[in-house]
Amino acid sequence: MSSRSDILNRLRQPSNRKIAGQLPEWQDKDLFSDYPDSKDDLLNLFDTQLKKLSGSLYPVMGFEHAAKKLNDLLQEIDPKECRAHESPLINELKLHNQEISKYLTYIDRESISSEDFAQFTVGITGADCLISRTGSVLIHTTTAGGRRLSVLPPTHIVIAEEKQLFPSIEDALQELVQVKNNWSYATLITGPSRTSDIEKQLVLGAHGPKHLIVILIKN
Amino acid sequence: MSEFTRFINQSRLFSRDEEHRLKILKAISTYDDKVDQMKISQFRDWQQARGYASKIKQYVLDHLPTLLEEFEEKISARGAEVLWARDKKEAQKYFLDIAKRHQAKRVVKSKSMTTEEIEFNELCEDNDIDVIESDLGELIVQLAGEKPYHIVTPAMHKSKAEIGHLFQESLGAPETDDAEELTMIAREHLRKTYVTSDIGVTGANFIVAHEGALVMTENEGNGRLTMSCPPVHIAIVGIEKVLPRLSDLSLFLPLLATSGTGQQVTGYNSIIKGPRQEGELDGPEKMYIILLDNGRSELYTKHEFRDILCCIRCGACLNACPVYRTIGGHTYHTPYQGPVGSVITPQFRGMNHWSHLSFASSLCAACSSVCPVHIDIHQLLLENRWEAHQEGKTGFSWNTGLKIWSWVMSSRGRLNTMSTLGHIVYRWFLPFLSRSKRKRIPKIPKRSFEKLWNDYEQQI
Repeated sequence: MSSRSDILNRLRQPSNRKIAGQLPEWQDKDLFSDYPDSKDDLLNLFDTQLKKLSGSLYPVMGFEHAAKKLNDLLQEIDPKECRAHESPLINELKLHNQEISKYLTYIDRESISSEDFAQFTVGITGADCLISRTGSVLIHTTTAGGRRLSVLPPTHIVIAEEKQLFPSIEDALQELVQVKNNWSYATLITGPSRTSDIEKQLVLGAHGPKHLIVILIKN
Repeated sequence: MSEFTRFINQSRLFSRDEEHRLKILKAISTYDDKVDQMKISQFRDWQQARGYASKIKQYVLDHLPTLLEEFEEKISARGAEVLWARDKKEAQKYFLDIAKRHQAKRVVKSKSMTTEEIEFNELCEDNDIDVIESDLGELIVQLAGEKPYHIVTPAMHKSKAEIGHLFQESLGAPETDDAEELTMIAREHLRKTYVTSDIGVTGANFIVAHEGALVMTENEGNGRLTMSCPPVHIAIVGIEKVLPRLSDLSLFLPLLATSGTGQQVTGYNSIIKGPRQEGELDGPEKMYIILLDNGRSELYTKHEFRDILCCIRCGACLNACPVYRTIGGHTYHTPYQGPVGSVITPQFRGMNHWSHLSFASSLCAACSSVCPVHIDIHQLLLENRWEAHQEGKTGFSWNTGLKIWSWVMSSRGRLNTMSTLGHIVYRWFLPFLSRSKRKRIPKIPKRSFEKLWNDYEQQI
């Protein structure tokens, strides 16, 4: 007998245990005391939570300001080694800022070895949604340009719009289920990479990005 | 040396090591503060959240084979290969076959308890495959040639100075005892590993049946790198890790983070639905999932033990346990320590050598009271004792002692006689018989509870 049927058969042996019943249904609103009270709180709460985690948020009005902010940030780091994932949102930023459009390279059309990839200093991606209650960013392979761009470079910049803000994790998971294409990987990012493995002392930038920056475009 | 003798010797050693106890106390009290605070600041009602979580896990137990098949079907459709491993040997064989097929020379691994269970690192070493632990805590214990001290915090027992010394010796790093500098040394050391490894090996915290996905929780990002850079990804996962729906994560991610580390949610929660798909820019070309049984289905058939398969390995029961806090993680000599380890180890590895773990408990139930999925862990320790007794694994003195105890306890008169007798022995002889330096014998009151009660009743 194969191991598969061996294991499954054993799990199917009759038992006199009482069946527990149906799966419970709940809403995050009823479960979590830090659930945002109203729509107006979403941005403030997201800001507070992300800062608590040592991430940075820049809410800006419109594409022009967003493009300027992005350019300022990139100039501070190292514009040559920045890579972005092509998306309508970032294309729009490029249109609004000549400088960015000159140096910002998309990763989408070339196949890059991981060794080369490790040289990049900034990864710029979009997001599926932002979660207010936990200060998290949800991305999947389509919005994030694959798996490496958001984790290998020491700085991860997320470009998102205000309409992408949601109250809690359940909303993010609902968004994810609705994504039609066949993605293989998604991740809920809550702050920069961190560890407390040495004497329970918090250190940022263990293996993933040391800096997590969100540029939020308001209308 | 038998496991039992080893356990007693180690317990003696560690419980007297004040420096060690201080380190553990410090780590666990930091944890306690954060967890207590997070339970209040995040949840409206922690007990309600536990109730939901327990219900979901009970549902999973009721439908485990069907949910596993559903997971297999969904994730296979996206090109992942699912392999079912009856035991450690079979899981090892699967891995070696895959390594051979892909001519792997180097493996990078993120933290996973199932790999500890199948002694993965030893397997690689025996087969000339380079294996590198990427979790900071795991890297520290690997370099020190030790085993993880705790299922969530593997290097809990190491001080900054010890780690500094270790990095200096094994990595040629400059001397430092600064936690941040030490973390950066590990970061630099491991960067190259991710991009030059042939296989990335991870565990998983959850199997999501309906969507056919694995979920992995971490803070450092080493897990993400491990399943993003190498061309092959192997996930080794216990068959009990199932959740029915993706939406269940909205409870289980905060629940696990709160109980595990006192965080709202952990830094990275990755959902993996297969290898690289068409149109995706990167990711492993091949993904294998080794579903590890290794005693779990056997445990499942004993319905009184089935609840322990609800465990989400948060480590809360270890931190709460007065025995764990005193004797430390290494004394258990098993991948799973503390109360949960004391339930499953004798079950997985046999009462013969391991039943002593279920007896090394005061049954204070601290473990059960902190368990986020409501497992009555201390009750299962009792079940283990009963099973050990049934199998004749308890000694003559234990059996006779309990017979005498039950004979005495079943009559008020006999109990009174024995307590008077005990009183005399305790008062007049015990101080001379056991001159212990570590324990002071407490004074007992002159009048027993029964006498006080009688007086009280007469008064009213």
